[in-house]
Amino acid sequence: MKMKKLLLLAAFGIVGLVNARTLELKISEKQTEKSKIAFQLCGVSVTYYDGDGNVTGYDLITSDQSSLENCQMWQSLVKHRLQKAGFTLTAQ
Amino acid sequence: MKNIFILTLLIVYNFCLSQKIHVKYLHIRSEIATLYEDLYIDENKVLSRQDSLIQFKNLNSSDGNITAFRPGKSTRAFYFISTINDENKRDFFFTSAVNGNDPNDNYFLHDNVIRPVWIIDKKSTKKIAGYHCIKATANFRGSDITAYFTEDLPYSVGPFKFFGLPGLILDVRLDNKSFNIWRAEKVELDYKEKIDFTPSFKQYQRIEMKKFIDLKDKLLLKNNKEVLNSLPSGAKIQYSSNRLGIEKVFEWETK
Repeated sequence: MKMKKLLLLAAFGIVGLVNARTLELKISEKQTEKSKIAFQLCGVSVTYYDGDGNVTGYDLITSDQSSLENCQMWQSLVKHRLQKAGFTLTAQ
Repeated sequence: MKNIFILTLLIVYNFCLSQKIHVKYLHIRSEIATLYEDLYIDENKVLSRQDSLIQFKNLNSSDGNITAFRPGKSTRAFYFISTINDENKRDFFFTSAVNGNDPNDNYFLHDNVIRPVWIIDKKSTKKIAGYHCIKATANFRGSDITAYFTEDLPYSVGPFKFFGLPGLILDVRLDNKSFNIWRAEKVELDYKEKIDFTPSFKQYQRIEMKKFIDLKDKLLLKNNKEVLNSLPSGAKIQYSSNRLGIEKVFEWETK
């Protein structure tokens, strides 16, 4: 059980480093004991630039997601939508 | 003997003031864009040109941020034209764009800039492009900035819309940021290049500065709305509420 918990935490750590920022990770202590994640605020921080290289915006895009997998999928979807909207993304 | 000394001083002073000066600044416009700005001074005429050749940097994702860039079909140069005076305000004529992604969205604007209240720290000095420079700090339109100027070139001029120090600004930057930086790489005296200090920009739109800033503010809101519409349902956005450039507050807004 402890090993499983450690593996789960490590997975979150790695994703946080290589993927978009996970803002806040709230794991209810009671539910951790049951090895379940109750709630996760999933986020992507975006800086927008125009063709002249000027910053045109800073956004913090967030959504409540029930699991790490869902958070990752949601982050990928956000990136996909931004690309579809005409943006070239440097962090993917 | 005294007269000869005064005459020599006057000649040297006039020589200094009649020099033609070209300063090449490395300008870090943003975390991804670096370019050169060339400042030309001929007597009291000043023209500064931000180059259209921009070096774009690919940011890494290690800090968890995403860089969303809309590459344009072409980049453009921006001009800043002024005349040296001793007044508390200076007229700048400059080119700019509301929409940085539209190469045809060009404006030629007039801006009356109040001289920043500079605090000079004579004890803090550094050498820039071979010149002894003195530190000065100020708040420029809502942004705290630090500049280094040289008294060896007694022109109250700088890149962009910076002015008001008793010497040419060779380094100026936004405090605590890694962009909005201008740093002189080269100072050329009596340059040979032929410079037109009164370019016409006939094809550019001309509107009042206040109206131009309104258009920019509206575009920022429109962009935020567009991004929100493009996102998956349930997404929440915290927008940047402040203006994004170095000019955050304008004189007409603080009256």
